[in-house]
Amino acid sequence: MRISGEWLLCGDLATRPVITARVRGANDFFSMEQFLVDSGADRTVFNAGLLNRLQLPVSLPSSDESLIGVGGSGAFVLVTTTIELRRDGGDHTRINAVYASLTDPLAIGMSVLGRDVLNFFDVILSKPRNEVLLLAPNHRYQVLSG
Amino acid sequence: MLRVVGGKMPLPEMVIEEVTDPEEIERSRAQFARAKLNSDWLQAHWPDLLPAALGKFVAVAGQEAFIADTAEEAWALATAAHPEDNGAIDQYVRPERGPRIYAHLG
Repeated sequence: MRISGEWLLCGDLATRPVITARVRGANDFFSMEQFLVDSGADRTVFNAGLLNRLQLPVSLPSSDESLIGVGGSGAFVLVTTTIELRRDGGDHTRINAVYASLTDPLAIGMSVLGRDVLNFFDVILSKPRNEVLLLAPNHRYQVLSG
Repeated sequence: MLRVVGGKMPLPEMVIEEVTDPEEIERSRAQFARAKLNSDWLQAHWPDLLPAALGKFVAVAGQEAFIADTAEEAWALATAAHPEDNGAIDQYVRPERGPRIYAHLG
C-alpha cells in the first residue's frame, strides 16, 4: 500500500507535509480534509472546523484525559468516524476509530494525522525529493548509498 | 507535537477496511480529484489572498476562495456558491509570522 501526500504551501507561506483524506460525517456525507503529517503527535486530532462540518454526535473525554500541545492544553471532544485514504493506483482504505477533535477553531490551523494512524505505515517525508509517502505491505522502502 | 495525558485515549481501537464497492470508489475518486483542483488553485493564489486572509478562514470551492472571520461562514459561502463541489477545502491562516514548533494549543 502506498499513499502519496504532498508538501503543501500554507497561508503563512510555510510548506508542510500533508495527506488529503475523506472523513465520514452524518448521513454518510464525506468531507475532504488536509491533515498535517505530525509524527510528534500522539493522536490524530481534528480541527474544530472539520468537527462542525461532520455534524456527528460527540462524547466528552474523561476528566483525567487531556490533550497537550506546546502552548498548553486544549478543550476537546471524541467522535467516532472514518478517515478514508486514497492509495496510489486508485484503491481506498478506511480507518474507523474514535478520534479527538479540538473545539477551539483557532487552536490549530490544520487537522493533524498523528501516530495512532501513522504507526500503521512507514512514513517518508522528503522535502528534497518532494515526497510525502505512507507505505504498508506490499510496499516498503530501501535506503541506498550513492 | 500533541501529547495525550491520562484516561483511555492512548490506546484507541482502530479498524482498517478496504473499499470494494465500485460506485463508492468512483465517488471517492471524483471527490479527491475536486479537492486536488481546489488545493492546487489555493497554493497558486496565496499571493492574491494575502495579506487580507491573515487571521481569517479561507475556504475554496470551484477553484474560488471565500474569506471570512469564522470557519462556518467561509464554508457556508463556498458551498453556497459551488454546491456541486464536494471537494471544498478550508484552512485557518494564522496572523503570526515565523516558524511554528508543533501544534500550539491554548
